[in-house]
Amino acid sequence: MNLQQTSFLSEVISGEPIPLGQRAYFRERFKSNLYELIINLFLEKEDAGEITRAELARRIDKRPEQITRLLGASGNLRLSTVSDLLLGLGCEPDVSALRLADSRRNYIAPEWINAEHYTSHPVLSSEPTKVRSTTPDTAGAYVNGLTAEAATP
Amino acid sequence: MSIRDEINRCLKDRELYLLSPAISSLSVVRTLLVSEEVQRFVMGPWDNVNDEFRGSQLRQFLDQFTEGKKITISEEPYKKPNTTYMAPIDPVEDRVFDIRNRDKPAVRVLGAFAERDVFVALIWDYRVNLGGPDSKEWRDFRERCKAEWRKRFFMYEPLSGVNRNELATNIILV
Repeated sequence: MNLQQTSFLSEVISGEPIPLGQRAYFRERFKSNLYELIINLFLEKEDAGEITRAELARRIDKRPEQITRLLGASGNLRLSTVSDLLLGLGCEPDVSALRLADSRRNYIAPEWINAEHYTSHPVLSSEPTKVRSTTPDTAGAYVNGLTAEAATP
Repeated sequence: MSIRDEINRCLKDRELYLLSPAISSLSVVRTLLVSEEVQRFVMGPWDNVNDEFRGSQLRQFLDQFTEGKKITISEEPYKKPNTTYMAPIDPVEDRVFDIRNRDKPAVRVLGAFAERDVFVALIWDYRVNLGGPDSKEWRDFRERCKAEWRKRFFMYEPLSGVNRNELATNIILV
């Protein structure tokens, strides 16, 4: 199977079936956005002397080291944990959805980078490269596992 | 000549690629330059859906850097929370840093800072292939990264990052 990326959002915007890679990308982004929301809130309150990791842990019945781990990266967050952490910070999420079709291209590089060198995505050989892997079976289990997890976050 | 000139030469000669966020409307705060090896894994073409899935996850992880999201960088190679986004590789004098993506199967991307907020990601591997901290595999991985840097920037050392805040904006030191 040869999965060549063209315009990253074309399937999303056109209503075509969305490839697994794009879904994986946006799942990861969703987790990252939630993480950013929580860590920014926590740091703001910590800087203001309103809360510590230990106090947050006590408030939501977790151990301090669990809070350290949860605040360390987006990968550890479940929706229930997100809710607990926000509540422990005295907040709840204000959820909204952005229409990707309305997005506009932004600045993409510092001015000292010569624009001629990046204006189009590089055309690499269209021959798929077998990337190194653990074993295909193992990797497949991860994909399936994550797919199932994402369906029931 | 400066390292910026060398970066532009590398981009022209396709020794490096600018990895801009997959979502073109995202703000870009930091700059990520990648080798063809890294570019291929995160952008395809892939020969199976497992690689497509894992490569796309990593692309998003790297886009977090570019987008300027808050990232954690550790002071030390070994004493750090498991969830640290980026860490120096032992020995720190080599100035090699590791982007640590812990989605399964975990991936490590090695590279170095050309300047503040400009990271050059040169090589990657699955964590499971690298063994323990003192393994030959880790040492070879680190040495390969240094060799890839020298191939492109022979005259220039990466940023040392003795003060981690000099490496990038919006970081959390851990």
